[in-house]
Amino acid sequence: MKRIKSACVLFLSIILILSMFITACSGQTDKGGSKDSDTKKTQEGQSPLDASKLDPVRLIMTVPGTPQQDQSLVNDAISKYLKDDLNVTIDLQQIDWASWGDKSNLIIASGEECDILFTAPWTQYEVNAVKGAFHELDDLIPQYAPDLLKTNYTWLLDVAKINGKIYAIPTYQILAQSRGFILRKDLVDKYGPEVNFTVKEVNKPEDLEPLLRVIKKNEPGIIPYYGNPSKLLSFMGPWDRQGSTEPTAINCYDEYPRYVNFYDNDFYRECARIARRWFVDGLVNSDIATTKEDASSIFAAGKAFCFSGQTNPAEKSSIENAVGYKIVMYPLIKPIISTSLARGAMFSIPRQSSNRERALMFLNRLHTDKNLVNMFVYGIEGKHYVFKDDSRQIIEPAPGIDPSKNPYFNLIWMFGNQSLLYAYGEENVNAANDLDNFNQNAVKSPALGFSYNPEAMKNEIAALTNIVLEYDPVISSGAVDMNKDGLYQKFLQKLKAAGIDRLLEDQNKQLEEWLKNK
Amino acid sequence: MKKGSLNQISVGANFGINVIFIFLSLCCLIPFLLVLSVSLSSENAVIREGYRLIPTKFSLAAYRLLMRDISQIGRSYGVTIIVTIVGTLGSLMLTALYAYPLYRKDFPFRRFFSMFLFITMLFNGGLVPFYILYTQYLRLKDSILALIIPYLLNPFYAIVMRTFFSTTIPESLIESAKIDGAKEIYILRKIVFPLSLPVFATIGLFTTLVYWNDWFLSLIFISKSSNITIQYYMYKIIMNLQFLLSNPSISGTMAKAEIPGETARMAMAIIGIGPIVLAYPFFQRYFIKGLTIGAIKG
Repeated sequence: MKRIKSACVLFLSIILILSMFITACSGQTDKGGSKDSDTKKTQEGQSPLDASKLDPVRLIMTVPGTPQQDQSLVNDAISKYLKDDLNVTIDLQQIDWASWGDKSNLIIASGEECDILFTAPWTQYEVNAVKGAFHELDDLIPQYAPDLLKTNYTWLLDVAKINGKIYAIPTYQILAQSRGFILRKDLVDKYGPEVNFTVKEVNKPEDLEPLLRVIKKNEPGIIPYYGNPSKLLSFMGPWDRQGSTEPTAINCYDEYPRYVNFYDNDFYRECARIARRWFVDGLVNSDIATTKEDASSIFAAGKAFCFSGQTNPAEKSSIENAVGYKIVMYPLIKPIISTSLARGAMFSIPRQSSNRERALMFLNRLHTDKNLVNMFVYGIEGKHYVFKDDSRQIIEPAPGIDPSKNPYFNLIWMFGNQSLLYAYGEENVNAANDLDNFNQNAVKSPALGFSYNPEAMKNEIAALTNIVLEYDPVISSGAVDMNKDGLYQKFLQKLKAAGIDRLLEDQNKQLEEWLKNK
Repeated sequence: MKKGSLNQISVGANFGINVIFIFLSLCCLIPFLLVLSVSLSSENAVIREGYRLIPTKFSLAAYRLLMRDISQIGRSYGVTIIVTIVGTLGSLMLTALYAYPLYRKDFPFRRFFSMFLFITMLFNGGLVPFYILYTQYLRLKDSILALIIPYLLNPFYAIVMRTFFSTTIPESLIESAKIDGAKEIYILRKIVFPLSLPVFATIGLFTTLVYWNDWFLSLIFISKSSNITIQYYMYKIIMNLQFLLSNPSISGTMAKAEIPGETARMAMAIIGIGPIVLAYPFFQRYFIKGLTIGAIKG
């Protein structure tokens, strides 16, 4: 009896201590809250851009990327630059790619201090927006980010909408994607004339075949086309599609968007036929259906003549740097802009931020202020880079800095508006123009701005993905004849049995709904 | 001699058992040797010929490459060593001090604290509350303490230790010490601890391994590279590589030079194994003794 009593006393005292702890903490958050509303009040009374009347604010900006050695120096420089008109201190925190998934979710879930958070479809923008992790920005933009409405890419803001609301500000970067083959230039020059090889704006895979055959005949150590299951020929079509295992897709060339079965159409069958011919004739690697090898590293090792990938002219020099060969791009489609590409890099203001107005004013600057964007990407003038040609705005690494170990060189596609960047080296002198042209000439997916909510169809999608993984790599790589033992028919039947029609129906219903409200 | 013949096994069985265990040992050893050999090969040879058990072209290039990053590796190594030593000692201390009262029948809240311990073994708050507690209440983000505290008290080890105490240390021993005038602290230090070395060694080994191999705490709590452990440093490099390879649209703008080759990754694995291989033989002595003592006393 005595023991129970004393246990009770102990238990109660623990509860008491805990409750004191909790009230102490909630008291703290209350204080924070009231301060927040104070600043809001003072701001509402005055013009939002009058810097002398703005309280100093620290904005924490969390983005993925390799942490830069001189980050704190650059943060200071940016803060100094912004002191006079925004009165903000910027604290840019870069989180390694490896831990970004976990950490960004923890920041959202735990309500940790953060004012600007990078987001994109691959880091679950849609899910988080629906969950209420981000501030809605529609009402704030006209007042605090008016310049965003004057750019020549205002349509991007609409693309970011989820259920009619803007939850993040997209970055203007390479928004389109063109898919095709990347060929080795020296071999194209050597054997191309022999087979009258030409590259047009949009090409057919068949037209590459003679060249592949010549390479096969004359260059025994080189695989004409190195493929792997994640980038097969069938993937190279004009499809608006999330991943490589989605069973459905929208054809971007269509006027009126509609989800179709990705595996049951003439395009897919034609690709499988071509792939089979190439496989039988030994024009591709024999393990194409199973290999996990990265095609570009095989290419870089000099063991392949071509591989499939993105053929954006703007990225030509960076691919050349990466693989170590001069290349020729052989696009199979016109560049397309799909929802997930246009949402590729965005900044959101998470729910926990108490400085959303200032954060938005800052994001506004990122889209208009050339100096600011360049500071974020290239660092400090004179320390990290110097002007090589002032009039054409070409820069180069500052003297004494080894370009491969630059203490500050950030991602060019992340901050605000990529077309505001200086040209890094002579070869990029037209990069900004190229970027604009590429984006403007691209075909916009008819469903641009629509993202499918798969909540109701999760089970179907999981089952379908498994079937796709089982059949698609062997069929569309050409490793097995699609008509052998009715393999392809079996594939289609299995997809039907797993509910592809139900999925299509649900997707098209949501799409119709979205089109109606557009 | 009779006892010897009782324990004797037939030649066939002896041979069979030896073959099985040699095979199992090789299964553990060969992958390790492969890693070692690849780390000592030249990068070109590995790309051309794949992994070989004996390097076709010997090269120290991978290790030289790692040397370039020596300040970070050295720093991470130091963090790992400090975390492991402080963590293991602290954990042994705390576990023993929790387990000992639970073993003493005259401790009044014995039941309550056993239950308290047991419940934490079955239930936990999940990752997010865990994270909130450490970052927002304890304010341990980016602190080396965040790498130590979470593993300090493992309830399972506390229960193992309590069981060990109650099976090896008879209560009458403690009573007689009391009669001789020993105080509680003295009993603990001079009687209980020396008798429990085997369980300390066992649990010490487990905790050492937990601390040494941990990368998860660094992943969620540390964003400054000065305080990450060596395991997380390697995890980070390999995960970054995989991430960039699987998201070519992001990596397109990045120089491939940043990405280490096969040999460098293997060299990192070798460095990561480091002194921890020496921990096994050291603890093993006590480990075997612990098992046999337990068996004889029954």
